[in-house]
Amino acid sequence: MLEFMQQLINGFSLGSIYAVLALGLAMVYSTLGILNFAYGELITIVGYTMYFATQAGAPFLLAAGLGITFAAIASLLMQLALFRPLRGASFVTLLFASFALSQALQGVFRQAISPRARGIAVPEIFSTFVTIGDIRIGFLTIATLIIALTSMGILAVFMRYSRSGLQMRAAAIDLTTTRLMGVRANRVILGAFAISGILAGIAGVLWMARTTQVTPTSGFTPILIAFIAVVLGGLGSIPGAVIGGYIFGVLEVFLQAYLPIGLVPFQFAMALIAVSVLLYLRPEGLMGKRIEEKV
Amino acid sequence: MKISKAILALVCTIPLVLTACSSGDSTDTGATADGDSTAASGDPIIIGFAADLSSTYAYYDQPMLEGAQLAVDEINETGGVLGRPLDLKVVDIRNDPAEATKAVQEMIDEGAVYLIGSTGDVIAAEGAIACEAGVPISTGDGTAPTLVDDIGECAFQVLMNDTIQGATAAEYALAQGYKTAFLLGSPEYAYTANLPGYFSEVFTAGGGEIVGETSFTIGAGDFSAVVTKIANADPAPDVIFTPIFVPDTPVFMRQLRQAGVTLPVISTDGNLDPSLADAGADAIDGMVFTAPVCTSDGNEDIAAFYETYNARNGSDPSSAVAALGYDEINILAQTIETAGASDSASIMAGLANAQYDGITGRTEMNPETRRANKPAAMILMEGTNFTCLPAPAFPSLVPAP
Amino acid sequence: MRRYGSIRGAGVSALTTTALMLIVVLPFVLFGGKSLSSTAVIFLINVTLVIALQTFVGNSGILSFGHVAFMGVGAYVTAWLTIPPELKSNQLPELPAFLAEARWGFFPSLLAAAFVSALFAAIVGIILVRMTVNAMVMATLALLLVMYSVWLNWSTLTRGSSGVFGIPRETTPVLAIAVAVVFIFVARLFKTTRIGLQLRASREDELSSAALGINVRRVRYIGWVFSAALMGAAGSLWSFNIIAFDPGQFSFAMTFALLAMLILGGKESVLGAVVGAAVVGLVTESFSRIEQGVSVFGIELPRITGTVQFVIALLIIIALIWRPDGIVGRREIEDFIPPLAAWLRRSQGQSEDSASQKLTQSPEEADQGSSSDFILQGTGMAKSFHGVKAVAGIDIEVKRGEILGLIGPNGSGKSTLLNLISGLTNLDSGQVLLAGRDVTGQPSHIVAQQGLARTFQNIRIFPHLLVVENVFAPPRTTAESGHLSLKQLGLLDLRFTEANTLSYGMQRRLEIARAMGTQPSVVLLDEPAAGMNHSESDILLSDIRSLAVHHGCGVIIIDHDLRLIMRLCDRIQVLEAGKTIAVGTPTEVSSDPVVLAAYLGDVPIEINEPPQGEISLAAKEN
Repeated sequence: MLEFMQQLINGFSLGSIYAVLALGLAMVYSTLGILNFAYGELITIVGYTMYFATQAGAPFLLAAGLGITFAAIASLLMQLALFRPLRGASFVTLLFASFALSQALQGVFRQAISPRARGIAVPEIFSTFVTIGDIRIGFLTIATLIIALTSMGILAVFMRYSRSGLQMRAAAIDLTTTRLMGVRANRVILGAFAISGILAGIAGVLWMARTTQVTPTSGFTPILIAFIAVVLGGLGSIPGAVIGGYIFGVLEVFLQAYLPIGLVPFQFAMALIAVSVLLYLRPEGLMGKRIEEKV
Repeated sequence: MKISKAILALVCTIPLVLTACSSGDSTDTGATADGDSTAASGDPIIIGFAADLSSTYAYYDQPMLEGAQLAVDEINETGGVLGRPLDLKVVDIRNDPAEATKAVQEMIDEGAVYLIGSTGDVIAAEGAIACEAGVPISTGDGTAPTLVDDIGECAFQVLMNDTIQGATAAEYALAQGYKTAFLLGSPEYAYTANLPGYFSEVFTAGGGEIVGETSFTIGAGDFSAVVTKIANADPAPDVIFTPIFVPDTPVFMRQLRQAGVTLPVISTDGNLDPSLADAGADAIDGMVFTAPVCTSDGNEDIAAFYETYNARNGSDPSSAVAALGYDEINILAQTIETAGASDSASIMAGLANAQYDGITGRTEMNPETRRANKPAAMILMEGTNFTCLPAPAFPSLVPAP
Repeated sequence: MRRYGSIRGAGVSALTTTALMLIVVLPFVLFGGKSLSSTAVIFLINVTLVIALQTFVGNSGILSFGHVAFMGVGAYVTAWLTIPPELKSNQLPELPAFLAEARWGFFPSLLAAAFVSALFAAIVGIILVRMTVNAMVMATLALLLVMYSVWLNWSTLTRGSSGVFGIPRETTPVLAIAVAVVFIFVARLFKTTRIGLQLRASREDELSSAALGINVRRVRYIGWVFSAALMGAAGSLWSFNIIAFDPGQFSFAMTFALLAMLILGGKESVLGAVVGAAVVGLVTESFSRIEQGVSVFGIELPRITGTVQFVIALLIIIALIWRPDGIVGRREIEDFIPPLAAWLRRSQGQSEDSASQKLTQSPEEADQGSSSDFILQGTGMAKSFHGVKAVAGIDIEVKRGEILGLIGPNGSGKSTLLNLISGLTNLDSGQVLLAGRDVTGQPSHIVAQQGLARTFQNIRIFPHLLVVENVFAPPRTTAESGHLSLKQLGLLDLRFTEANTLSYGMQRRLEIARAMGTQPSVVLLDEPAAGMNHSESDILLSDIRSLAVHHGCGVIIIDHDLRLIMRLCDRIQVLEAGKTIAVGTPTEVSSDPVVLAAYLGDVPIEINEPPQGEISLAAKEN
């Protein structure tokens, strides 16, 4: 029971990183219909920024702030340099273009920095743990959970009550109509990429605090899972992405912890098959809406 | 989850394939290394290294190359082998078997008489070509003992192998008085899959008991589930044995300590890399692992090696694995000198019985298994420093592969 | 399999592509050394792998990350069948007996690999083709990861990460050329078959191809399985060359490499697959040579690593921006050799002309007299969207040879009614009888197969297919009826142009020709004259009139132009707010006080709805 509770918290903590990531992916998807594979490289960018910043003597929080800033900038650059020139291209073209961008960026990291892992110094407090009753939980685990939930809360408030948030929600429903209503589409799109970059930045900081090292392919594992979370939750559904992220985080931890040892290696396959079966039964995902095409 | 390192590695390496661009002069020397008794004196002796220099196994192949290149340069400056220079041909095959096949074929065509294999799984593809052509190939820094049998008659393992290091780790654990152990392996690689077994065979034979076992996912980035499981193991073990390797080790160790688990951890040679120190002193202090060589015990030969390397390259080699590359070339050179011939067949015959005292210790080849009986070293992390434990003896019980 | 076009044409095209490939490859094989000819063999194997991928991705337009899984199936099947038993007993001691003792040859193994792979794809495909396109792309990604995990962990069959070895190397250049040539022919011919054509039509417009009777799931399923069979065979060929492999090979790197070749070359063309494999190979080879350190003007460049990936990725990005359709685009080799294309078209045209001469009269016309009943009857049809009743209990009927006009203000439910009849939208209640058969609740392709055809308010032709391909894609269209339809709508001379290069008015006519080619018993025309000027629409109207008479089919036509409707229609039905407010002859309706009230101040002002959001629609609906 004790272990179960601990694993549950582990699952939610990991899931909240995935949720923040998936949320960032979904923001862009709902506005522009792009699933950005190179989104994972934003995490890598956070990692290298933090590495160089801490090497230069910056305190951890400053390094984290810089990391998030750079991720947001990189996200905007992706839109300007890749997706805008490809305006009007199909979902598949955009997906593959972002896949290629991800490969190119990995090549840059490998050439310009190193194919080897770079360690990021983290504060001592991350190595401590708190005890609640009999449950012992790492400080970082709890911090991750809180930071992720807070960020998502702030975003929800922003989307609900601010003017820009309203415009983004409108654009998510119908970009063309929103544009006809006098909203400047480019600004909305850039806004979506900026928020998406900030979310990747936050998730990146949380991920880097956990792994304490960055490699050219650091972003790959998280992005794959965020992809699955987005599809699981329902392409285009923002709450769905968050729920998908949490489900996958908990699923991952529990399969790792409770599958018989012989089956542990199949955990990812099992999780994916479960998701595929769900997609078979509900092609639009958990929270997605069936899109009726106007004829 | 199971997005393994192999995927990670392969994403980065786009193995593309194919053609054109003739190297112009590549003369067709035929399939077999037809020796070079006819070659004019002064013709180089060609050694091929189809290495992974940009993907997962760059951790090991890169320092292998650095050490090997130094040995080649030194030998060439002092008159070569049989009066002929060595020529080390290197191709980055990015851990892609198609590239490896092509590169090895090309090297053989160009007259390579000996091949250093990549540490990665592509060694199987490389070995297949090599054996077909009758050219000997080493397993590079690959320590899986099954490799030699898999590849065939042309394969040699001139460094210690996993059965030896598993046994050495177990004997060390017993000597420390540990009675119970927790095993953490991964089925993804032969290395991570088999080492817990070698350890446990020797550990239980010596009276120890395995009280728990689980598997981790290579490259997972998050080990919280595994760590929580270890933390809650009942009964609590005395020691954790795991063949986890960099870059996963620092992540795992940090998360293990974060969860308040202070158990000692014994690991294996995949940690012989400076990046292990990334975990920070508090996470890896006290960790012990087996390795083919320990370079920080003030051994004069090793010190000289580092000094020379530094003088020539302006920096230390990427890792201590470089010493193995250095020794391997020297073993080869000695074998050729002894045989008095540099054709592949003579090298194969000579290597099977080679005995050599190198900077990494004494290598005695077992002609039956074509593997080296070479003791492992033990390294203790003191803070972020790699320190040598007293050199362990060759284990009294070595499990079968 | 019925065909729309010339098998000979496809064969000649394949032959020419083959010749091009041989020109590239033969010098290496004949004059290169062993390593050069092995480079050529690797190129040929890549050609087979990319063509196998192209068969599905190119024709269906659905990106598949999962094909490398089939390559893995092919490779492992080959390993089980061909590794000498003595090696197998060592590596895979728990292999089932019939596999443990197997020692198959090259071609049997290749076929077995194709078969097992197809079987596996047939099972996976059942789930896959039910999904929406975007979900399917993600599911293929899942397939890749799942199969990778299976290879890695099912060590009884695969020996896990240690991999298998000892497959006899049988890939001589001659053999590799032979297999590649077969692949080129098979893929080129598949593209030309009716299934291939329908698959391409579904790529262009899933919804309108379904509305014309194409069973999109079925053609996707066939394309998927067929492509997997090729991939299995290609994987087998690959394994005969690589001899030893492990699960890591069937992963992202391979997927990216193959997709890169396909997309760079041009994913919709077989020639593109060959060109893509050649270009990527050339770039890879050049850069890996540069990486080994070269001397330029006497300066030794240092040894560098890892540039290949970067360069290929960059090329892809540049190509996607500069030439989104790849180097050769959608074109096959004949499109680059005008005399060849002209000759192929001439010979195809001749065969079509001779086919159409057999036609004396429309088969529908013959039995027209016997049926005076309603050919289409809809009763009590109703549909609500989010609580708004778009169609609230409408009855509609049309006879053979009759033209029924459907008018009403915007939002009165006209288009929704057509969608309900054609099965694109599900009825909440009500019933639809087509030629006496109940088609209520049937998906649109079934309804279309029963003899209903339609056009759309915003033109939905297959933009990147030829005019002739547009017309011949629907399953009910025969060589004769398609030809006749092209002729009747004045498109015969334009039949070998790409549909999206036609003028707007011609695109409207093409859509009608495509519908009429299916020999429908009922045609629904949704604003066929929209955007045309008076003279254009007058010509179109008289054409519609004569088509209705000639084919003896019932026509329901929506238009805002009352002048036009009044002149054309036998009867008119007026809708408002989802209900019928009047029905009768033009004279009756135009004097109906209710109609006049409804139309007062709202007479035929052309208010076209704003164009579909191109970005959001293109992206979300793909």
